[in-house]
Amino acid sequence: MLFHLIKKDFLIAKTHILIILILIGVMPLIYARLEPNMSGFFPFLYMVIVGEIVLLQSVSQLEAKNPKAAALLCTTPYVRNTIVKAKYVFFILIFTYCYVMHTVITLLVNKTNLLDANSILMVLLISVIIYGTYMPIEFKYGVIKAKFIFITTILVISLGPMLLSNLLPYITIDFSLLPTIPPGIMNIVLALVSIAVFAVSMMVSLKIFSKKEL
Amino acid sequence: MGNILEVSGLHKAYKDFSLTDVSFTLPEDCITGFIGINGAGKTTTIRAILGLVQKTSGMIKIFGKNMEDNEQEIKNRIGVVLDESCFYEDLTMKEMKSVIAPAYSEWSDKDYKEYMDRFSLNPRQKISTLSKGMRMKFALTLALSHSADLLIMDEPTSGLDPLIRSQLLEIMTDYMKQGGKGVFFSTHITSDLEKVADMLILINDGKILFEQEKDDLLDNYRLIKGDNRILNDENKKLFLSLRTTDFGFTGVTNKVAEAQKSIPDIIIEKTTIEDIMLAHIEGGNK
Repeated sequence: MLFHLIKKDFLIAKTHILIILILIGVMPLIYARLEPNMSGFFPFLYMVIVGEIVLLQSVSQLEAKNPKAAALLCTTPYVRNTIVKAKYVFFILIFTYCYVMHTVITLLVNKTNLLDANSILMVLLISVIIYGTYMPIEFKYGVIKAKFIFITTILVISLGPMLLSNLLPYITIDFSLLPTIPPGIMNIVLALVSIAVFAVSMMVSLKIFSKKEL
Repeated sequence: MGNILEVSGLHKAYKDFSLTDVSFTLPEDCITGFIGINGAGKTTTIRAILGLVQKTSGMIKIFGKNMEDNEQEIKNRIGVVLDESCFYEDLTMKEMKSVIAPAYSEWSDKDYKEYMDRFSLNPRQKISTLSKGMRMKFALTLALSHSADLLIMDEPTSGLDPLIRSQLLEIMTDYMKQGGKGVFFSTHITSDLEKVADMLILINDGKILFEQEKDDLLDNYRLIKGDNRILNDENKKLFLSLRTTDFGFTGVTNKVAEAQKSIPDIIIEKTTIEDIMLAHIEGGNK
Protein backbone atom coordinates (compact mmCIF):
# COMPACT_ATOMS: atom_id res chain seq x y z
CA MET A 1 0.00 0.00 0.00
CA LEU A 2 2.80 2.39 0.91
CA PHE A 3 4.37 1.84 -2.49
CA HIS A 4 1.22 2.98 -4.29
CA LEU A 5 0.96 6.15 -2.23
CA ILE A 6 4.59 6.96 -3.03
CA LYS A 7 3.84 6.20 -6.67
CA LYS A 8 0.96 8.70 -6.37
CA ASP A 9 3.45 11.40 -5.29
CA PHE A 10 5.59 10.62 -8.31
CA LEU A 11 2.56 10.67 -10.61
CA ILE A 12 1.24 14.03 -9.48
CA ALA A 13 4.64 15.72 -9.64
CA LYS A 14 6.35 13.66 -12.30
CA THR A 15 7.87 16.54 -14.28
CA HIS A 16 9.09 18.37 -11.16
CA ILE A 17 10.47 15.20 -9.65
CA LEU A 18 12.30 14.23 -12.82
CA ILE A 19 13.97 17.64 -13.11
CA ILE A 20 14.96 17.72 -9.42
CA LEU A 21 16.28 14.16 -9.51
CA ILE A 22 18.43 15.02 -12.54
CA LEU A 23 19.70 18.19 -10.83
CA ILE A 24 20.54 16.29 -7.66
CA GLY A 25 22.21 13.61 -9.74
CA VAL A 26 24.55 16.05 -11.50
CA MET A 27 25.42 17.97 -8.29
CA PRO A 28 28.44 15.79 -7.40
CA LEU A 29 29.72 16.30 -10.95
CA ILE A 30 29.48 20.09 -10.59
CA TYR A 31 31.26 20.00 -7.22
CA ALA A 32 33.98 17.71 -8.59
CA ARG A 33 34.62 20.22 -11.39
CA LEU A 34 34.51 23.39 -9.27
CA GLU A 35 36.15 22.08 -6.07
CA PRO A 36 38.02 18.87 -6.91
CA ASN A 37 39.64 18.70 -3.45
CA MET A 38 36.46 19.24 -1.45
CA SER A 39 35.46 16.25 0.68
CA GLY A 40 32.28 14.43 -0.29
CA PHE A 41 30.46 15.46 2.89
CA PHE A 42 29.20 18.92 1.87
CA PRO A 43 28.07 18.04 -1.67
CA PHE A 44 26.24 15.03 -0.23
CA LEU A 45 24.65 17.12 2.54
CA TYR A 46 23.55 19.68 -0.03
CA MET A 47 22.15 17.00 -2.34
CA VAL A 48 20.15 15.43 0.45
CA ILE A 49 18.73 18.66 1.88
CA VAL A 50 17.82 20.09 -1.52
CA GLY A 51 16.45 16.74 -2.64
CA GLU A 52 14.34 16.10 0.41
CA ILE A 53 12.90 19.56 0.98
CA VAL A 54 12.49 20.74 -2.61
CA LEU A 55 10.96 17.46 -3.71
CA LEU A 56 8.66 17.28 -0.74
CA GLN A 57 7.51 20.86 -1.21
CA SER A 58 6.91 20.30 -4.95
CA VAL A 59 4.74 17.28 -4.24
CA SER A 60 2.94 18.99 -1.35
CA GLN A 61 2.21 22.12 -3.38
CA LEU A 62 0.69 20.06 -6.18
CA GLU A 63 -1.29 18.05 -3.63
CA ALA A 64 -2.52 21.30 -2.09
CA LYS A 65 -4.07 22.17 -5.48
CA ASN A 66 -6.50 19.29 -4.85
CA PRO A 67 -7.10 19.52 -1.11
CA LYS A 68 -10.05 17.12 -1.17
CA ALA A 69 -8.05 14.31 -2.74
CA ALA A 70 -6.64 13.37 0.67
CA ALA A 71 -10.24 12.96 1.85
CA LEU A 72 -10.94 10.53 -1.00
CA LEU A 73 -7.81 8.55 -0.15
CA CYS A 74 -8.95 8.34 3.47
CA THR A 75 -12.28 6.84 2.41
CA THR A 76 -10.33 3.89 0.97
CA PRO A 77 -8.46 1.26 3.00
CA TYR A 78 -5.33 3.42 2.78
CA VAL A 79 -6.46 5.19 5.99
CA ARG A 80 -4.61 8.11 7.56
CA ASN A 81 -1.64 6.23 9.05
CA THR A 82 -0.61 4.88 5.67
CA ILE A 83 -0.66 8.34 4.14
CA VAL A 84 1.69 9.70 6.83
CA LYS A 85 4.00 6.70 6.69
CA ALA A 86 4.31 7.05 2.91
CA LYS A 87 5.73 10.55 3.37
CA TYR A 88 8.46 9.16 5.64
CA VAL A 89 9.26 6.30 3.28
CA PHE A 90 9.56 8.97 0.60
CA PHE A 91 12.36 10.52 2.71
CA ILE A 92 14.23 7.21 2.91
CA LEU A 93 13.92 6.70 -0.85
CA ILE A 94 15.28 10.15 -1.68
CA PHE A 95 18.14 9.73 0.80
CA THR A 96 19.01 6.38 -0.77
CA TYR A 97 18.83 7.89 -4.26
CA CYS A 98 21.19 10.72 -3.22
CA TYR A 99 23.63 8.26 -1.68
CA VAL A 100 23.61 5.96 -4.71
CA MET A 101 24.05 8.87 -7.17
CA HIS A 102 26.82 10.40 -5.06
CA THR A 103 28.67 7.09 -4.80
CA VAL A 104 28.33 6.22 -8.49
CA ILE A 105 29.51 9.63 -9.66
CA THR A 106 32.36 9.76 -7.11
CA LEU A 107 33.52 6.34 -8.23
CA LEU A 108 33.62 7.58 -11.81
CA VAL A 109 35.23 10.98 -11.09
CA ASN A 110 37.30 10.95 -7.89
CA LYS A 111 37.40 7.81 -5.79
CA THR A 112 39.18 9.57 -2.91
CA ASN A 113 35.99 11.53 -2.14
CA LEU A 114 33.94 8.43 -1.34
CA LEU A 115 31.86 8.93 1.78
CA ASP A 116 32.76 7.14 4.98
CA ALA A 117 30.13 5.80 7.35
CA ASN A 118 30.54 8.76 9.71
CA SER A 119 29.80 11.32 6.96
CA ILE A 120 26.78 9.36 5.74
CA LEU A 121 25.36 9.12 9.24
CA MET A 122 26.11 12.76 10.01
CA VAL A 123 24.23 13.82 6.84
CA LEU A 124 21.44 11.42 7.74
CA LEU A 125 21.10 12.98 11.18
CA ILE A 126 21.10 16.57 9.86
CA SER A 127 18.57 15.76 7.15
CA VAL A 128 16.38 13.76 9.54
CA ILE A 129 16.33 16.72 11.94
CA ILE A 130 15.33 19.12 9.13
CA TYR A 131 12.77 16.79 7.52
CA GLY A 132 11.59 15.52 10.89
CA THR A 133 10.88 19.06 12.05
CA TYR A 134 9.35 20.16 8.78
CA MET A 135 6.91 17.26 8.26
CA PRO A 136 4.77 17.69 11.41
CA ILE A 137 4.57 21.44 10.70
CA GLU A 138 3.35 20.71 7.19
CA PHE A 139 0.78 18.19 8.42
CA LYS A 140 -0.43 20.71 10.99
CA TYR A 141 -0.45 23.95 9.02
CA GLY A 142 -0.32 22.94 5.34
CA VAL A 143 2.41 23.49 2.80
CA ILE A 144 2.12 27.29 2.40
CA LYS A 145 2.47 28.07 6.11
CA ALA A 146 5.11 25.36 6.58
CA LYS A 147 7.14 26.86 3.75
CA PHE A 148 6.90 30.31 5.36
CA ILE A 149 7.96 28.92 8.76
CA PHE A 150 10.81 27.02 7.07
CA ILE A 151 12.15 30.07 5.22
CA THR A 152 11.89 32.23 8.36
CA THR A 153 13.79 29.57 10.31
CA ILE A 154 16.53 29.45 7.68
CA LEU A 155 16.86 33.24 7.87
CA VAL A 156 17.12 33.10 11.64
CA ILE A 157 19.65 30.27 11.49
CA SER A 158 21.71 32.19 8.94
CA LEU A 159 22.17 34.81 11.68
CA GLY A 160 23.51 31.99 13.83
CA PRO A 161 27.26 32.48 13.34
CA MET A 162 26.97 36.12 14.43
CA LEU A 163 24.85 35.23 17.47
CA LEU A 164 27.07 32.29 18.26
CA SER A 165 30.26 34.41 18.23
CA ASN A 166 28.63 36.72 20.78
CA LEU A 167 27.46 33.81 22.91
CA LEU A 168 30.65 31.76 22.58
CA PRO A 169 32.38 33.15 25.67
CA TYR A 170 29.48 31.86 27.75
CA ILE A 171 29.25 28.40 26.14
CA THR A 172 31.12 25.84 28.12
CA ILE A 173 30.59 22.65 26.08
CA ASP A 174 33.88 20.80 25.76
CA PHE A 175 34.06 19.82 22.07
CA SER A 176 37.57 18.45 22.56
CA LEU A 177 35.95 15.26 23.86
CA LEU A 178 34.35 14.47 20.49
CA PRO A 179 37.49 13.18 18.72
CA THR A 180 38.17 10.86 21.66
CA ILE A 181 34.89 8.98 21.10
CA PRO A 182 35.68 5.83 19.09
CA PRO A 183 34.30 6.16 15.52
CA GLY A 184 32.30 2.95 15.88
CA ILE A 185 30.51 4.26 18.97
CA MET A 186 30.04 7.66 17.32
CA ASN A 187 28.41 6.00 14.31
CA ILE A 188 26.09 3.96 16.50
CA VAL A 189 25.10 7.11 18.40
CA LEU A 190 24.46 9.01 15.14
CA ALA A 191 22.37 6.14 13.76
CA LEU A 192 20.37 5.76 16.96
CA VAL A 193 19.69 9.48 17.29
CA SER A 194 18.63 9.62 13.63
CA ILE A 195 16.24 6.70 14.13
CA ALA A 196 14.88 8.29 17.32
CA VAL A 197 14.29 11.70 15.66
CA PHE A 198 12.70 9.98 12.65
CA ALA A 199 10.41 7.88 14.86
CA VAL A 200 9.38 10.78 17.09
CA SER A 201 8.67 13.00 14.07
CA MET A 202 6.57 10.27 12.47
CA MET A 203 4.60 9.71 15.66
CA VAL A 204 3.92 13.46 16.00
CA SER A 205 2.81 13.61 12.34
CA LEU A 206 0.57 10.56 12.81
CA LYS A 207 -1.05 12.20 15.81
CA ILE A 208 -1.55 15.52 14.01
CA PHE A 209 -2.94 13.93 10.85
CA SER A 210 -5.24 11.59 12.78
CA LYS A 211 -7.12 14.63 14.10
CA LYS A 212 -7.06 16.68 10.90
CA GLU A 213 -10.42 17.58 9.37
CA LEU A 214 -10.40 16.48 5.74
CA MET B 1 -32.51 -8.32 7.44
CA GLY B 2 -29.60 -6.88 9.46
CA ASN B 3 -28.38 -3.35 9.72
CA ILE B 4 -25.52 -2.31 7.47
CA LEU B 5 -24.89 1.00 9.22
CA GLU B 6 -25.74 2.11 12.74
CA VAL B 7 -25.13 5.62 13.97
CA SER B 8 -25.99 6.44 17.55
CA GLY B 9 -25.61 9.57 19.61
CA LEU B 10 -23.34 11.24 17.09
CA HIS B 11 -22.25 14.70 18.17
CA LYS B 12 -19.96 17.03 16.31
CA ALA B 13 -19.57 20.62 17.38
CA TYR B 14 -18.25 23.51 15.30
CA LYS B 15 -18.27 27.17 16.25
CA ASP B 16 -21.47 27.96 14.39
CA PHE B 17 -22.99 24.54 13.74
CA SER B 18 -23.32 21.23 15.46
CA LEU B 19 -24.66 17.74 14.91
CA THR B 20 -26.75 16.86 17.94
CA ASP B 21 -27.49 13.29 18.95
CA VAL B 22 -27.69 12.01 15.38
CA SER B 23 -28.93 8.42 15.47
CA PHE B 24 -30.23 6.22 12.68
CA THR B 25 -29.82 2.78 11.13
CA LEU B 26 -29.55 1.58 7.57
CA PRO B 27 -31.12 -1.81 6.91
CA GLU B 28 -29.59 -4.20 4.41
CA ASP B 29 -31.10 -4.29 0.90
CA CYS B 30 -32.37 -0.72 1.16
CA ILE B 31 -31.59 2.49 -0.63
CA THR B 32 -31.71 5.11 2.09
CA GLY B 33 -32.11 8.74 1.16
CA PHE B 34 -30.55 11.24 3.52
CA ILE B 35 -32.43 14.46 2.94
CA GLY B 36 -32.23 18.00 4.16
CA ILE B 37 -31.67 21.50 2.91
CA ASN B 38 -28.19 22.90 2.28
CA GLY B 39 -26.30 23.29 5.55
CA ALA B 40 -28.56 20.87 7.42
CA GLY B 41 -25.66 18.59 8.36
CA LYS B 42 -25.79 15.89 5.65
CA THR B 43 -22.17 16.25 4.56
CA THR B 44 -20.87 16.58 8.12
CA THR B 45 -22.72 13.40 9.10
CA ILE B 46 -21.30 11.51 6.13
CA ARG B 47 -17.81 12.82 6.83
CA ALA B 48 -18.10 11.80 10.47
CA ILE B 49 -19.24 8.31 9.44
CA LEU B 50 -16.23 8.01 7.14
CA GLY B 51 -13.85 9.37 9.76
CA LEU B 52 -12.96 12.43 7.69
CA VAL B 53 -13.94 14.68 10.60
CA GLN B 54 -13.48 13.80 14.23
CA LYS B 55 -16.74 13.25 16.04
CA THR B 56 -17.12 14.81 19.46
CA SER B 57 -18.94 11.70 20.68
CA GLY B 58 -21.13 8.87 19.42
CA MET B 59 -20.83 5.41 18.00
CA ILE B 60 -20.62 4.34 14.37
CA LYS B 61 -20.95 0.71 13.41
CA ILE B 62 -20.72 -0.57 9.86
CA PHE B 63 -21.43 -4.24 9.08
CA GLY B 64 -21.86 -4.66 12.84
CA LYS B 65 -18.29 -3.57 13.56
CA ASN B 66 -17.03 -0.48 15.28
CA MET B 67 -15.61 1.91 12.68
CA GLU B 68 -12.71 3.10 14.84
CA ASP B 69 -11.40 -0.38 15.58
CA ASN B 70 -11.94 -1.90 12.13
CA GLU B 71 -11.42 1.06 9.82
CA GLN B 72 -9.33 -0.65 7.15
CA GLU B 73 -11.53 -3.75 7.00
CA ILE B 74 -14.71 -1.67 6.80
CA LYS B 75 -13.36 0.74 4.19
CA ASN B 76 -12.42 -2.22 2.04
CA ARG B 77 -16.14 -3.00 1.82
CA ILE B 78 -17.56 0.46 1.16
CA GLY B 79 -17.65 2.55 -1.98
CA VAL B 80 -17.73 6.31 -1.59
CA VAL B 81 -18.77 9.14 -3.89
CA LEU B 82 -18.07 12.54 -2.35
CA ASP B 83 -19.91 15.74 -3.18
CA GLU B 84 -17.13 17.55 -4.99
CA SER B 85 -14.21 16.64 -7.15
CA CYS B 86 -11.80 14.79 -4.90
CA PHE B 87 -9.37 13.70 -7.56
CA TYR B 88 -5.88 14.81 -8.48
CA GLU B 89 -6.82 16.98 -11.42
CA ASP B 90 -3.54 16.57 -13.30
CA LEU B 91 -3.76 12.80 -13.41
CA THR B 92 -5.51 10.80 -16.08
CA MET B 93 -8.33 8.50 -15.01
CA LYS B 94 -6.01 5.54 -15.63
CA GLU B 95 -3.39 7.02 -13.28
CA MET B 96 -5.98 7.85 -10.63
CA LYS B 97 -7.29 4.30 -10.82
CA SER B 98 -3.72 2.96 -10.44
CA VAL B 99 -3.52 4.83 -7.12
CA ILE B 100 -6.95 3.85 -5.77
CA ALA B 101 -7.28 0.24 -7.00
CA PRO B 102 -4.38 -1.31 -5.02
CA ALA B 103 -6.00 -0.18 -1.76
CA TYR B 104 -8.82 -2.73 -2.20
CA SER B 105 -8.40 -6.46 -1.79
CA GLU B 106 -11.41 -7.17 -4.02
CA TRP B 107 -10.66 -4.76 -6.85
CA SER B 108 -12.01 -5.98 -10.18
CA ASP B 109 -10.44 -4.65 -13.35
CA LYS B 110 -13.24 -6.36 -15.28
CA ASP B 111 -15.92 -4.36 -13.40
CA TYR B 112 -13.86 -1.20 -13.77
CA LYS B 113 -13.61 -1.65 -17.53
CA GLU B 114 -17.33 -2.43 -17.83
CA TYR B 115 -18.32 0.75 -15.99
CA MET B 116 -15.81 2.86 -17.94
CA ASP B 117 -17.30 1.49 -21.18
CA ARG B 118 -20.87 1.90 -19.95
CA PHE B 119 -20.18 5.54 -19.09
CA SER B 120 -18.12 6.08 -22.29
CA LEU B 121 -15.13 7.29 -20.28
CA ASN B 122 -11.69 7.30 -21.87
CA PRO B 123 -9.14 6.21 -19.24
CA ARG B 124 -6.42 8.30 -20.86
CA GLN B 125 -8.36 11.52 -20.44
CA LYS B 126 -7.07 13.97 -17.84
CA ILE B 127 -9.41 14.48 -14.91
CA SER B 128 -9.14 18.28 -15.19
CA THR B 129 -10.84 18.07 -18.61
CA LEU B 130 -13.86 16.11 -17.36
CA SER B 131 -17.29 17.66 -16.96
CA LYS B 132 -19.09 17.47 -13.60
CA GLY B 133 -21.21 14.60 -14.87
CA MET B 134 -18.20 12.66 -16.13
CA ARG B 135 -16.40 13.16 -12.80
CA MET B 136 -19.37 11.77 -10.96
CA LYS B 137 -19.47 8.79 -13.33
CA PHE B 138 -15.76 8.18 -12.76
CA ALA B 139 -16.21 8.46 -8.98
CA LEU B 140 -19.04 5.95 -9.23
CA THR B 141 -16.89 3.63 -11.35
CA LEU B 142 -14.18 3.63 -8.68
CA ALA B 143 -16.75 3.12 -5.94
CA LEU B 144 -18.38 0.16 -7.69
CA SER B 145 -15.31 -1.72 -8.92
CA HIS B 146 -14.30 -3.43 -5.69
CA SER B 147 -17.44 -5.39 -4.76
CA ALA B 148 -18.48 -2.84 -2.14
CA ASP B 149 -21.33 -3.91 0.15
CA LEU B 150 -22.27 -0.36 1.08
CA LEU B 151 -22.33 2.64 -1.18
CA ILE B 152 -22.15 6.04 0.51
CA MET B 153 -22.79 9.00 -1.73
CA ASP B 154 -22.83 12.66 -0.78
CA GLU B 155 -25.01 14.74 -3.11
CA PRO B 156 -24.06 12.71 -6.20
CA THR B 157 -26.86 14.16 -8.32
CA SER B 158 -26.30 17.80 -7.42
CA GLY B 159 -25.68 19.92 -10.51
CA LEU B 160 -26.20 17.06 -12.94
CA ASP B 161 -28.54 17.05 -15.91
CA PRO B 162 -31.65 14.81 -15.77
CA LEU B 163 -30.21 12.22 -18.16
CA ILE B 164 -27.09 11.60 -16.06
CA ARG B 165 -29.19 11.61 -12.89
CA SER B 166 -31.47 8.98 -14.34
CA GLN B 167 -28.43 6.86 -15.37
CA LEU B 168 -27.12 7.12 -11.81
CA LEU B 169 -30.43 5.97 -10.36
CA GLU B 170 -30.48 3.06 -12.82
CA ILE B 171 -26.97 2.02 -11.69
CA MET B 172 -28.09 2.17 -8.07
CA THR B 173 -31.08 -0.05 -8.79
CA ASP B 174 -28.85 -2.55 -10.64
CA TYR B 175 -26.39 -2.51 -7.76
CA MET B 176 -29.13 -3.35 -5.25
CA LYS B 177 -30.27 -6.33 -7.35
CA GLN B 178 -27.10 -8.20 -6.29
CA GLY B 179 -28.59 -8.55 -2.80
CA GLY B 180 -27.05 -7.98 0.62
CA LYS B 181 -26.06 -4.43 -0.30
CA GLY B 182 -27.01 -0.99 0.93
CA VAL B 183 -26.95 2.56 -0.40
CA PHE B 184 -26.81 5.69 1.71
CA PHE B 185 -27.44 8.65 -0.52
CA SER B 186 -27.62 12.27 0.59
CA THR B 187 -29.43 14.77 -1.55
CA HIS B 188 -31.56 17.86 -1.51
CA ILE B 189 -33.09 16.88 -4.86
CA THR B 190 -35.88 14.80 -3.41
CA SER B 191 -37.48 13.91 -6.74
CA ASP B 192 -34.62 11.44 -7.33
CA LEU B 193 -35.52 9.65 -4.14
CA GLU B 194 -39.17 9.26 -5.10
CA LYS B 195 -37.95 6.87 -7.81
CA VAL B 196 -35.44 4.73 -5.94
CA ALA B 197 -35.40 5.19 -2.15
CA ASP B 198 -36.79 2.64 0.29
CA MET B 199 -36.06 4.58 3.46
CA LEU B 200 -35.78 8.29 4.16
CA ILE B 201 -33.95 10.13 6.89
CA LEU B 202 -34.49 13.86 7.30
CA ILE B 203 -31.91 16.01 8.99
CA ASN B 204 -32.29 19.68 9.81
CA ASP B 205 -30.04 21.99 11.78
CA GLY B 206 -27.89 19.04 12.84
CA LYS B 207 -30.79 16.98 14.23
CA ILE B 208 -32.62 13.99 12.77
CA LEU B 209 -36.29 14.87 12.30
CA PHE B 210 -37.49 11.50 11.07
CA GLU B 211 -36.37 8.10 9.82
CA GLN B 212 -39.13 6.29 7.98
CA GLU B 213 -39.95 4.05 5.05
CA LYS B 214 -40.67 6.15 1.99
CA ASP B 215 -43.95 4.40 1.15
CA ASP B 216 -45.25 4.80 4.71
CA LEU B 217 -44.29 8.42 4.66
CA LEU B 218 -46.04 9.09 1.37
CA ASP B 219 -49.11 7.16 2.57
CA ASN B 220 -49.33 9.00 5.89
CA TYR B 221 -48.95 12.57 4.72
CA ARG B 222 -51.36 14.57 2.60
CA LEU B 223 -51.51 18.02 1.14
CA ILE B 224 -54.74 19.74 2.12
CA LYS B 225 -56.20 22.76 0.36
CA GLY B 226 -59.20 24.84 1.25
CA ASP B 227 -60.72 28.20 1.88
CA ASN B 228 -59.11 30.43 4.51
CA ARG B 229 -62.50 31.00 6.18
CA ILE B 230 -62.71 27.39 7.39
CA LEU B 231 -59.43 27.64 9.29
CA ASN B 232 -59.50 28.25 13.02
CA ASP B 233 -57.00 28.01 15.87
CA GLU B 234 -58.04 24.46 16.63
CA ASN B 235 -57.77 22.91 13.14
CA LYS B 236 -54.58 24.82 12.38
CA LYS B 237 -52.87 22.55 14.93
CA LEU B 238 -53.44 19.57 12.61
CA PHE B 239 -50.94 20.88 10.11
CA LEU B 240 -47.17 20.51 10.12
CA SER B 241 -46.94 23.53 7.88
CA LEU B 242 -49.57 25.90 6.61
CA ARG B 243 -49.46 28.54 3.92
CA THR B 244 -52.24 31.00 3.30
CA THR B 245 -52.77 33.27 0.32
CA ASP B 246 -55.75 35.37 -0.80
CA PHE B 247 -56.98 32.32 -2.71
CA GLY B 248 -56.92 29.87 0.20
CA PHE B 249 -54.64 27.71 2.28
CA THR B 250 -52.32 24.78 1.59
CA GLY B 251 -51.11 22.64 4.44
CA VAL B 252 -49.30 19.37 5.00
CA THR B 253 -50.63 16.98 7.62
CA ASN B 254 -50.22 13.42 8.82
CA LYS B 255 -53.56 13.59 10.63
CA VAL B 256 -55.62 13.14 7.51
CA ALA B 257 -58.63 11.44 9.09
CA GLU B 258 -58.91 14.10 11.78
CA ALA B 259 -58.58 16.87 9.22
CA GLN B 260 -61.30 15.29 7.06
CA LYS B 261 -63.60 15.11 10.06
CA SER B 262 -63.04 18.57 11.46
CA ILE B 263 -62.52 20.70 8.34
CA PRO B 264 -65.31 20.71 5.76
CA ASP B 265 -64.89 21.22 2.02
CA ILE B 266 -61.22 20.47 1.73
CA ILE B 267 -59.26 19.06 -1.19
CA ILE B 268 -56.89 16.25 -0.26
CA GLU B 269 -53.93 15.58 -2.53
CA LYS B 270 -50.91 13.31 -2.44
CA THR B 271 -47.70 14.87 -1.20
CA THR B 272 -44.18 14.70 -2.51
CA ILE B 273 -41.11 14.02 -0.38
CA GLU B 274 -40.20 17.65 -0.86
CA ASP B 275 -43.56 18.79 0.58
CA ILE B 276 -43.02 16.58 3.63
CA MET B 277 -39.42 17.69 4.06
CA LEU B 278 -40.30 21.37 3.85
CA ALA B 279 -43.30 20.91 6.14
CA HIS B 280 -41.12 19.38 8.83
CA ILE B 281 -38.49 22.07 8.46
CA GLU B 282 -40.98 24.94 8.40
CA GLY B 283 -42.97 23.30 11.20
CA GLY B 284 -39.87 23.07 13.30
CA ASN B 285 -39.03 26.72 12.60
CA LYS B 286 -42.47 28.00 13.64
